[in-house]
Amino acid sequence: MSAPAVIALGTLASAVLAGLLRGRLRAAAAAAALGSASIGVFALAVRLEQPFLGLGLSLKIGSTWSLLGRSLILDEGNRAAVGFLYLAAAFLFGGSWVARPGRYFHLAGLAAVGAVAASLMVRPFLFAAIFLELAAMGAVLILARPGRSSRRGALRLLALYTMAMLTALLAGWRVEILGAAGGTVEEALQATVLLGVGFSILMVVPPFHHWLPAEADAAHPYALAFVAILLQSAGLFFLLRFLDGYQWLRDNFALYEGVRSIGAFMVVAGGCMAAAQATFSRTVAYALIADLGVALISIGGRTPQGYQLAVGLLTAHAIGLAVCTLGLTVLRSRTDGDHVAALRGTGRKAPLAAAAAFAGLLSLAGFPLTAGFPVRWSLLQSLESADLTSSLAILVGASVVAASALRWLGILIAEEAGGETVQPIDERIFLAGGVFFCVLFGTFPQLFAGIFEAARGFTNLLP
Amino acid sequence: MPWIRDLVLIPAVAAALTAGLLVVLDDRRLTLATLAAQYLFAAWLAAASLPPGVAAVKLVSGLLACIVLAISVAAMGWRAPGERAGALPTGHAFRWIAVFLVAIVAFAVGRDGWSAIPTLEPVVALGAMFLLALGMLQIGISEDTLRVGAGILTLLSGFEVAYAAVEPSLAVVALLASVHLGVALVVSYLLVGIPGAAAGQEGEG
Repeated sequence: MSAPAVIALGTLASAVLAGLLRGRLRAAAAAAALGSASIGVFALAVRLEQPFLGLGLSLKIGSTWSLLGRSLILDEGNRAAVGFLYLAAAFLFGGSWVARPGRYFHLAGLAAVGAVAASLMVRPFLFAAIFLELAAMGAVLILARPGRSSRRGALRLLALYTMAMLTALLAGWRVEILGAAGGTVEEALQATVLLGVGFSILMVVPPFHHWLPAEADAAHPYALAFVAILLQSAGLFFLLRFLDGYQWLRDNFALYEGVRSIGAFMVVAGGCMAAAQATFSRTVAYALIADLGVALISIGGRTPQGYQLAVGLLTAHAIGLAVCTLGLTVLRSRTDGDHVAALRGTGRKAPLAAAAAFAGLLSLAGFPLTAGFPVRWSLLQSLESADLTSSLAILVGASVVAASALRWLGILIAEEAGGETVQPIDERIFLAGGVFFCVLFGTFPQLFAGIFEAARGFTNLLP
Repeated sequence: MPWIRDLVLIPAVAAALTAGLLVVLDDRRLTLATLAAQYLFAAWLAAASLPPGVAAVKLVSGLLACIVLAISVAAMGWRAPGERAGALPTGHAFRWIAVFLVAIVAFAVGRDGWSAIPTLEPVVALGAMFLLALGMLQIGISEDTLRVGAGILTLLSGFEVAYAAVEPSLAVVALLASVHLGVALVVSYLLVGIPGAAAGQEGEG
């Protein structure tokens, strides 16, 4: 038995179980979260290619699973990333206990997580693009809500990820031909442009971001958070694998400069757009774009610390987004939308939900004492005066999104008729737990140390 | 079979015609029939780079995708919904002109083959370019789920024709075939949906 086969079978079993339990959402959430957490722990802890005793038998778990002449390999290079992915998914599946994003959320979610894990393990790794497309299909199933007339966001997501797959496959082929040396300048430029287009789509770089605000209007907020975290994690790890694999890409200073500039643009533009929105979910969508810009600035720094911080940002991003959308989901369940008029005063009826939405948005902004702050602070320190533009962009973006969060807080706690409504105990526990997580990671930055290990597999990026 | 390569101009032109028709057709039955025909011509083009048996896999997967879409459309009714008010112009004249202009651009770009893929025959490259360009046009100017889905499948077909010259392995053919089927299933889901799948319709309190 090989570890990738165990992961695939575990994912399949969890997905089938979650599918069978779709009529009992809490049971499905528990099954998906436990299954995903177990697979994550397995990926991190399994002793590969070493015999060990289990159930009285001598067992050995191999690292390679061959399929149709291609291989799925779990090794020291990717096990931390695979483990991170499943544990992050477990965290999000846990939150669905309260958020209830739909009957098929867990089934499609596990399938999408499995596809992303396969993209991390497949060799040759340019086949990862096809698995990312399959993950995007799962994402569309998660986002599409029966009864909603608008399918624009989901269709755009599908079309964009299809284009990303095509460009990534072509880029991968060009890069394979160029090999380690990099070929002529023109050939290298062709491959870099193709890669740039593919990753721009995967990392929601404007103008490839349209699906996100469109889905913010139509989809369940928590489902959108899950999809955003999953797809962007996949895109980031895919980018890091490319950079790790090819010296000539790592030596391309113009590429890194471009990534930093695009990141700075995303931070400022995303922040400003977030502040201009009239619905909470759209504010979150643009704050997310600003947050992704910070990750790009981090990668564009071209330092080992920058790559690690990018992975750390993913974690902060997952916590902030999950907590924020969990709070928003609860608030929306008490109103007829999430525009200003609908949400006015709802914080007084559901204070914990308002606190979660506010804390999550602050974390996305990178506000002190929230999960998003320590990594941003480290990034600002590492940039120092070497890149004043990026540093300023991060500060401006963070300030604008934080101001936007304060504006929404004012709306949520505005004086309105009607007192506090009774919140179920499980809802209160999850919301309070979410806020606690946000503050915990913001107060004890050393918690990120273990998460930085997920980048350790990129041995060329982190010598 | 040498005649497949000798007559490759036929599928190249036919692929361009079918891709163009997909942009302008409103009738859903005709759309699906045209898409099925397009798969035949795309498989023929791919057969210039692949063994015919392997290229036939593309045809089979494509026809299966069409069947999946047809079942969903039949369940929803064959009448196409009107495009959303305030969206891009969607009149026939606009679409015909757009197809004409994009086809000219595709011809100009693809007529000499692709220098980046020297193993790709110029005529095949031209057919692939028509499919890619018109598929993108279809995605860009449509908002109807079936039309966008057909655009994505056209785009994929065009890419596969070109990519077959680069990577003819069975694993890639199988994975891309699964992508066609996956796209068809997802588009079907978006067309029909699953009754009772919404969060608000849970049985659990």
